[in-house]
Amino acid sequence: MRARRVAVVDDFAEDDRVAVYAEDGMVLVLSEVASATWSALSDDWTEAEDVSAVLVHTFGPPGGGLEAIDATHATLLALADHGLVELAEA
Amino acid sequence: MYGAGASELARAVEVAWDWCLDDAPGEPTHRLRLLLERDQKALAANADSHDLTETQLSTMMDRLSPAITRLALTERAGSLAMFHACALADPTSGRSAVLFGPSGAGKTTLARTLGTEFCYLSDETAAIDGSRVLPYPKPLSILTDANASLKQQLSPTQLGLRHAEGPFELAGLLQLCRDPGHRGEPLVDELDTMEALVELVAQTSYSRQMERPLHRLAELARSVGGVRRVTYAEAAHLAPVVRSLLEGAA
Repeated sequence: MRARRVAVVDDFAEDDRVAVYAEDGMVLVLSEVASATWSALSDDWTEAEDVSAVLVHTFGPPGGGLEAIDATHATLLALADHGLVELAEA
Repeated sequence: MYGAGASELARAVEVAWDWCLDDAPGEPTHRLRLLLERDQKALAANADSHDLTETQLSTMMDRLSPAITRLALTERAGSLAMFHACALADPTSGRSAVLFGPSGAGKTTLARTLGTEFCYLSDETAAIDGSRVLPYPKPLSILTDANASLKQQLSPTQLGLRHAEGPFELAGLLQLCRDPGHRGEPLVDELDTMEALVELVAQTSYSRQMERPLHRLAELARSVGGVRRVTYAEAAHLAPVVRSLLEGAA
């Protein structure tokens, strides 16, 4: 999987959180993990593995026996559901 | 203004909008063509060439207020931060509080109730240019008769509201949360920046047209020590809260 940001009106980061003003007019305040994921992405395609590495470096491995890449995929899918990122097969 | 009711309409507008009249108007950027005509045939024949047409003065005045507000907002879209808010100022210092919230939050009631102690800047839109609050002292829409279906457009003068020349500096941003069931003193909470941004954007006109709106709103919030939310039942109970905000003590 690879991901990239979609165009947004604005995004604002403070402490470990990001608020994103989406083109549909909604302002979404992202969780810490989603914020770090957003910050790891750009307008260019980024491999999910690279995002996963950033998240593990920042937060450590995910708990509950979950693989880091699976947790990353879930976060990326959630961001895509909110219209903030675009996904493609690697 | 056109139609048999044109003179009557002109007088009513001059009275209701007296705080907004420009002593030295330049070339207008917009014109609203208004037709007040009780003759239904004449009205129908000329409706297409007018922006607002009515047979009754009260209805025309009721429709005119939001029409003017919409034009003003559109004209300044992107250049000003324009909140759906009541704005009040300290008569001596000019420090101003912007009390924002959706329809029904009590903005007009607050303006009417507190605008005799504090200076009335607006009951509808608080426009911020840099750190300055620009007054929009439009008439207040008041239900003067419980049986009436239309509100009356009453001038701040008619309501005895307090006026000041300005300039007006932004001193506080307060989100209104009116709860008729709330008991006791108003409850004031501080919003963290992220929560404040969500609430501010929801009550900002044309925020999408602003350059980096989240950054601009965050900076505005930071400039006044953050955004607060007040839960209250009665407008009069907010006087000490607004006073504290304007004194910088809140």
